[in-house]
Amino acid sequence: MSWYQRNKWWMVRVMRLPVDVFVFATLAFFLIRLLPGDPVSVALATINQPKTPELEHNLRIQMGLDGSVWDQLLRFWGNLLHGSLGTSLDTHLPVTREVLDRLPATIEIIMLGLGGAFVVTMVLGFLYIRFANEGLRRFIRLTTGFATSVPVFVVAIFGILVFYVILGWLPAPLGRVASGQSLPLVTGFPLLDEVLTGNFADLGQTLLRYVLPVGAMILTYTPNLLTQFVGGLDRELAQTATRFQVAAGASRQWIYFSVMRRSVSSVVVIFGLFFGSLIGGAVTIESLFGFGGLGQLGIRAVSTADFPTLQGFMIIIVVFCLVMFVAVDLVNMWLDPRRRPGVSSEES
Amino acid sequence: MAETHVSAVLLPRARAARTHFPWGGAAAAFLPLIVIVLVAVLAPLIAPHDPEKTVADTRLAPSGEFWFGTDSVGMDVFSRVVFGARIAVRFGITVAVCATAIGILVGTFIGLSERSRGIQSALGGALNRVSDYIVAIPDIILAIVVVGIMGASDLSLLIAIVLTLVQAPIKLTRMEVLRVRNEAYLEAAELGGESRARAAFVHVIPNSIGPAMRNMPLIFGNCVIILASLGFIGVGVNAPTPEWGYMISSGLSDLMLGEWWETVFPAVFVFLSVLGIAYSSRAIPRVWPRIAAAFSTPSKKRKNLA
Amino acid sequence: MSQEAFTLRLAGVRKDFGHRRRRITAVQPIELEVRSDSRLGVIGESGSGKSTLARMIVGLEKPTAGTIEFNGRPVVDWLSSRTGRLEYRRRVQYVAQDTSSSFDPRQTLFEAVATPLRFLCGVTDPHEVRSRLRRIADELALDPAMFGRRPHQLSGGQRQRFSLARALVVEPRLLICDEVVSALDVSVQGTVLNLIKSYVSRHGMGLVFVAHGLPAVSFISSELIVMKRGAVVERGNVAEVLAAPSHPYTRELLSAYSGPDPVSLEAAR
Ligand SMILES: Nc1ncnc2c1ncn2[C@@H]1O[C@H](COP(=O)(O)OP(=O)(O)OP(=O)(O)O)[C@@H](O)[C@H]1O
Ligand SMILES: [Mg+2]
Repeated sequence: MSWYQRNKWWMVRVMRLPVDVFVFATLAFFLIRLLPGDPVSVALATINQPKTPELEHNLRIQMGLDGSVWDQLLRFWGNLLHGSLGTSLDTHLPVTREVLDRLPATIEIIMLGLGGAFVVTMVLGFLYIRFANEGLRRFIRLTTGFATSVPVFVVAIFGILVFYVILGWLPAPLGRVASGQSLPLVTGFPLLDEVLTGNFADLGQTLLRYVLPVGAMILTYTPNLLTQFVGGLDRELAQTATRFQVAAGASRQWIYFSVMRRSVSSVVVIFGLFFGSLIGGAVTIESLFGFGGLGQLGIRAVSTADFPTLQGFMIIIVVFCLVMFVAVDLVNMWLDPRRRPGVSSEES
Repeated sequence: MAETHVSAVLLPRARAARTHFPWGGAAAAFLPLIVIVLVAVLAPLIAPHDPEKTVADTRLAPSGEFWFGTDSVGMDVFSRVVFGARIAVRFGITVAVCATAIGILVGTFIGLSERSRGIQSALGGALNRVSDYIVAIPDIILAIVVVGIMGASDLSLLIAIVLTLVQAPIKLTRMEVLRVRNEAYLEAAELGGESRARAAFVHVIPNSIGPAMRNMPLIFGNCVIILASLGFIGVGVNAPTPEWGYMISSGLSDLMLGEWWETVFPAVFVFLSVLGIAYSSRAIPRVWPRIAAAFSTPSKKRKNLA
Repeated sequence: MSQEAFTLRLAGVRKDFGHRRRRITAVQPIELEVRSDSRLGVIGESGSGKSTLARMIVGLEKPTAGTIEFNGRPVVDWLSSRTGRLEYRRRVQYVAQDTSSSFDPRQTLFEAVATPLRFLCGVTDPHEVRSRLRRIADELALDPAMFGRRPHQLSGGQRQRFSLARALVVEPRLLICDEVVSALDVSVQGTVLNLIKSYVSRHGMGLVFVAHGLPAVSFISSELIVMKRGAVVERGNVAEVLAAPSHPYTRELLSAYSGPDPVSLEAAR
């Protein structure tokens, strides 16, 4: 097999991404324009100025809503090729910058929550196969029974009530650092920036303030991941491959490792499906704990009827999701070669 | 024809004796849904005060008169929480019905267009792709954008939530239609002179709506979650309306000062209703086959030749 | 009852399935003529293209090449307009091979049988619908009470006869039966064959009868074609073919079916 053939599976998947991005951006363009209601009049309603036709005309130009839809589309495509999604009506900054400045902080929260949930899932999953204890297994199955989407912010509220209001163990949910201080800005990922600038006092503070939000996310997402994982484990344990390993006298550790490895992909699959609700959850969490981020930007754009920001905000977030889908697909295909396109026909 | 008569009368009873309506299972599965809907319907009777009026001093702790205390403008938290169920149920049912109905129609169209020719096939394929992409938009983000562009109103919320939740019934119905369209009774319908449109409504849709219908409780639950989340971040229903998410967020600053009741009670209600609905949406599909069996066998509207 | 005559003519009709490398020819170019008094039997092994031929005649499959003409007008032409389609369907009806899914599980048999009556014959008056259904039930020895049932409440043989009822209720000029008896046990086979035979001769209509064995075909039809791998290998008058088969495959078929011969079917009457 040539190098190309061996690596085709991931290259094809990665090459599809730009196409997906382009198609989605175009779709978003139409979706937004097909909605009933006129963004210009919504914006006019929020401005405290006499409403002259002139003002309306200017606003329309600023929003990129002048001319026919096809003119707009051509301009939109042209901007897209240059990586531009317009300028915010509110701050007059490029929309891409507005969104990309805030995205890392949101990603950090999501990754901590998801990573934490993943680790907890792995630990519980290991216990599940390590101890064939019925009581423990029943407990773990009961946990998976909660695999619903109780909103994260509700869980976090209970956390705040217990650990801040009643016990007073954790700091108030009012930002990443004590009020008055500001975060260093290098990469946009707060924890990373604090490490890079050597701000270890702040790092400690931020970590402490992350306990509640990240804890709430872990508590909310673990049952969902666990459902998949335990399902996968049950399936794999019953597989002939596993029985064969046992019969062939493979070491315990090796069998655990191999069963876990094969089941992990059932968890990774739902990462993809899950990502949307993770972003939604992160938005509410940021709003609850006073972390500036995507949520804050979106809410500001709604309250100022900032059309270009709303449009760019949606497109960039979905592009981010699409990238994550690719990552999830690649990890899955790497873990489980049966999922690679064209593999089944080669093997059979 | 006497014989005919006898068998026609006897037949349904003989069948009914075999398939009992599963009372216990059905009651347990539907109970959470029924409780929530009852609270919503009976809200004016349950709630002791007007949910949108100041009725006492601000921030009173829970007491005999104000069970859940009062909020920062002196409204009764208990009445607001009870009426909150009403808002959630009203949205939930509207969204579930709209999303399911639209999803069934669009899903059927997509399913029937696949492998057909010409413009219909192109349109169906395009709709399918669009639906694939819309699934990729996080629900809260889509709602923020729709509300931002249309302005805050019940209609824009409804559109936003239906747009995200309609995708599941579309996909479910499409899968079913792809199965049903190969059934021989569609060819029989064609041979019997039925038009394609009639066949779609008379044969295809009734035989493929099952999964989408059973998905309705799930849509209801997701709608409650999205609505509360939107209310919480401040792009939900407008201000004094007693909506759970909005109540939680407006009580937050008081929570920090130890006045927990304004936030915690609505949060508990969100928690319980979401868990209850999730339980129902898992239990209903499980008892459904038995319920359907009990209903489908004795057909009362039998047409007889006698 | 109109006894109008018709001619169905197949000229060079071929059917291919699949694309390029996976292409298979289900029916080789075939010439065939069916008239109002024809009773044509079609036999052949499984996969020889019998069903495909039948389905092309009723327009459920489009021929890859060649033309099928009904009364001098191509079938595609009949089917292209609404009125033409209804007229063609009224004259040519089809009973499918597999009846397990040929009835909508949500409809009663009453609705299923009344549908073609309503759309093809324009009979909507409930009184008339009932009397027509009762008549067809009489002719096919069906219990009218069963019209209230749903398809899953019937046995395979009953469903087969309701399939026949659905096709015959519009009083077609040509009936195409695709292996209507293959799934039934021998005694029921005899009953159904007798029903079809007497119905067809009473109404003076044409019949194309597909089966994979000789006995049923030789009992019911006057002419016969034998198909193998999509090609017609033998054709002619039933008696002649039986007496002097020219193709080895036909001889093979004949010797395979030395057992239950037409005589025993006649006895089942
Ligand atoms: N829709 C289709 N797509 C592809 N191939 C088909 C299709 N329908 C039939 N064929 C193929 O065409 C050939 C003839 O099939 P056909 O159903 O006409 O056989 P038959 O003589 O009726 O067999 P049987 O006695 O088993 O019913 C078979 O090889 C079959 O696989
Ligand atoms: Mg066949």
